[in-house]
Amino acid sequence: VSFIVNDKKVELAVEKNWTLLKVLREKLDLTGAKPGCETGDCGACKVLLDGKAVNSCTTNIMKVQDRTVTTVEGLSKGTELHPIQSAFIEAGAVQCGYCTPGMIITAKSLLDENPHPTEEEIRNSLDNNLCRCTGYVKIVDAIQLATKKLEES
Amino acid sequence: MKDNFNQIGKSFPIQDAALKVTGALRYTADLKHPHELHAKMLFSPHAHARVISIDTTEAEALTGVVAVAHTFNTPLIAFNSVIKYIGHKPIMDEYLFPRIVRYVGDRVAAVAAETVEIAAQAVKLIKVEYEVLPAVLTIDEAMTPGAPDINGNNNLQFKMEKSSGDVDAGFNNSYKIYESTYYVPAVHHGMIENLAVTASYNPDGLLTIWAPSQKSVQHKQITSELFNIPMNNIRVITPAVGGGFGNRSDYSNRGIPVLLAMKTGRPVTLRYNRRENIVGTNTRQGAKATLKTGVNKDGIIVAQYMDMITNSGSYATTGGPMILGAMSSKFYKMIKCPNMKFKGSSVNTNNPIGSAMRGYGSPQVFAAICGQYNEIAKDLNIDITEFYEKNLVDPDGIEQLSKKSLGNPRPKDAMHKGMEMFEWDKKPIREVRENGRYLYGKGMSVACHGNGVFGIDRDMTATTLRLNEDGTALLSVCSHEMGNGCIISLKQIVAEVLGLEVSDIRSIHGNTDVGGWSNGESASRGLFVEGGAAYKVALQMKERLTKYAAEYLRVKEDTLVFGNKEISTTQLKCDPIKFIDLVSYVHEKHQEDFIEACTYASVALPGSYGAHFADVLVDTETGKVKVLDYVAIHDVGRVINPMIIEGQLHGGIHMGLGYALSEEITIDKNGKVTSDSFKKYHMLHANEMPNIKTAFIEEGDFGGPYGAKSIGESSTVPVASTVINAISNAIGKNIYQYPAKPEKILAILKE
Repeated sequence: VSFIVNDKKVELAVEKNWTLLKVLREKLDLTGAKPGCETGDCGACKVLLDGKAVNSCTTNIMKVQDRTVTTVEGLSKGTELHPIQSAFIEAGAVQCGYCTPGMIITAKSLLDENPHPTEEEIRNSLDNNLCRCTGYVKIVDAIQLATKKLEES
Repeated sequence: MKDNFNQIGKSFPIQDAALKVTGALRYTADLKHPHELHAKMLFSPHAHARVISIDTTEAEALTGVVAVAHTFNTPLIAFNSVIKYIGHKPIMDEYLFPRIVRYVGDRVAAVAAETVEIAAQAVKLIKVEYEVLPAVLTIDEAMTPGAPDINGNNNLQFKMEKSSGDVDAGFNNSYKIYESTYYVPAVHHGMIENLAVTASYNPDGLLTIWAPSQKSVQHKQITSELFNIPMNNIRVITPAVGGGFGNRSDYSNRGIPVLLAMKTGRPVTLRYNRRENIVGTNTRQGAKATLKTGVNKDGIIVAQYMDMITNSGSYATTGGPMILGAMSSKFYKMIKCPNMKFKGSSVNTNNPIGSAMRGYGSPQVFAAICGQYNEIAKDLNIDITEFYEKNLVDPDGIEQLSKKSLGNPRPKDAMHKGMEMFEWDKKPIREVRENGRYLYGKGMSVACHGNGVFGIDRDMTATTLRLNEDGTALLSVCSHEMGNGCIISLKQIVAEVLGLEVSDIRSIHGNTDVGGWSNGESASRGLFVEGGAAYKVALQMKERLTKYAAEYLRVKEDTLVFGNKEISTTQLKCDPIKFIDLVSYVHEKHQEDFIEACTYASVALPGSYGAHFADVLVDTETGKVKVLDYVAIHDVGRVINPMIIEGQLHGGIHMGLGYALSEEITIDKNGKVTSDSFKKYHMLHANEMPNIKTAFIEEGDFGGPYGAKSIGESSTVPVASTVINAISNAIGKNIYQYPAKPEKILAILKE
């Protein structure tokens, strides 16, 4: 299978039943996407597939052929954080951090499509992302802060 | 309290935040080890059975399988997952692989193979012959006379009783007596990281374990005892913790990769999936609590008696004396009533293991207490807040059992502040809306949790602090950052004492090779005790710096002022001495380095109190509950880091809302867990959460650093009963069984 991941073309020998999550973590050492349920319920494994957030744990690797994948590692430029990443830190949206990559990917997908979401739209966009630490309060704050940062940048 | 602090009371992001947002932080399952093998477990399909024989011939014949371990080729050493120190003897009833399995999910065998797929395939090829034994699946079943005996003591694990004053006289003199029984379920911690453990055993005898942990010091010791390895040859490393909540306190299955690594001489990684996490690690103990409260005509409580039965599930772990002791201690921290009795029993059932979880014992206790208070206030026709006002402890309150001070308990201040923020007096207790389809109700609770284990257990933490040549510092402590902000708070404390910036301090933590002995992050010790250790070691460093700065500047020690990484004097007009120059001076003149070590032992165990308020809308057609507004105020002594403490409280509220509304480990008639995925075990999503407002009472308390006390566990204690009370008030009927799922509410409405 060949596809683009974080702006780089990769070509890999894979088993047909492998998931995108397995390939990212085990073949490409991109461990930012996390396994939390492997049933598509928690969103910790989310990545952008052609710009849209998907659960990589339920995405078969064969479906990724010739497509573009962006993981949380692909958002920052070197040590320079993406505005959404900075917003998560500044708003205190990061606690244990395990759901954070998936949350940031969902936020990126949302804000690319809808740069000025209402609080309700933000909450609904997180419907497939679970967090046990924050009660989502500061995650929602972070996404609101990110909209401001993206506007300014 | 108004004080002039530079680092305390200010928001700093959590340790490793930048690594977490970029995906760069490696959790245990993200690590790769050369020549690593992968393990899979065979779990018991029976709730209770004797393992007669195990045939691993086919499994071992599979290409890629390296080792298979089970009860017949593994030493049978009894242990307990929460042994705290050498000589600690809780009920020892666990084995790496038991001969008699006690729940669906118990450890039967484990395979180490070249890939996880091969290991999984091999597990299916293991043939086990069981003699199925009768099982008990609930507290009531376990306590029925003549029930199958699963632990050799008619299922009773431990019982105790504590009493203060004259309880019988109190009830005899009561104007009214209320008595009800409350049921709360076992629940899953819901940390998003699945358990992963890697063990490697070197030819030179060094064993290393990588795992998410809250108590790696204890895990090292249990490993030493189980595998007969001297402690100098064991290190336990916590790369990161993707949520702890008590689940990562227990030793649990950490011994399995150790066993396989020692058998094979290769690193072995065991990674759980969600089902294995829900079923195969510990849960919060389910409980049945009968509460009897007597009041006089003025609504003052004159006697209270709680008969608490906890479900320890299959093994003791933190059950028995530990959970019941914790529960009874909270029972005595809340109200002024002198006549109180706590009777506790813990029982074994063939359920998953019940053990430590955020709030340890308190959510169960206050489900009953706060639920009954709501009922009493309604019956006496007084506002629930007025009922609390009459009965809650005051700042000069004493614990009725020991007659000792409770510190500086401020539940009333928290309640007053919450009433104001929630606009309690302006909202109706209940209201029928939209032609009767929706029922509105408001509810509140006041509850508490502790701060460490002073007076009960070895409540100490050892730490070291080094000053670099440029005056920056390195703090070493075997604490674990599990998302609670523990490490950043310790850095703030050290920075405050020494006049450094938080960014001047790096920490090494989550590694048993650094710091020293510690009782870990349980019992809300993180800030209260480990923060105390950071404070003490920083003070020691300050003393040494003071001595040499006075010598260098030729001034009196008490004229020195620390700040901006330098020390100035009020005695003379002279330039301050910078840390960098002072260290260089001492290195040159005295040939001494700046390394301090200390052990801090806690000196108090105050309560952390919270007052919570919520209103709800119950849909009478669907039974669904929407929580509208939520206000939570906590008495925390002092806020060290506002961003962190708010986050802790928000998370505690999320967990408590699930306890009230949706979360429950459900078990079928054969003992199999049916809520074994996030689809079936429902934790609330972002769009199901209420509007949350929080505030903190900062009146200081004795024992913690800068007067601070805990939030991590207390945050979740008053939540569920607050929501349950609001629902009860809305529907006009009391709820005695958690969680209030829609079907249960519809059934109550039909009654």
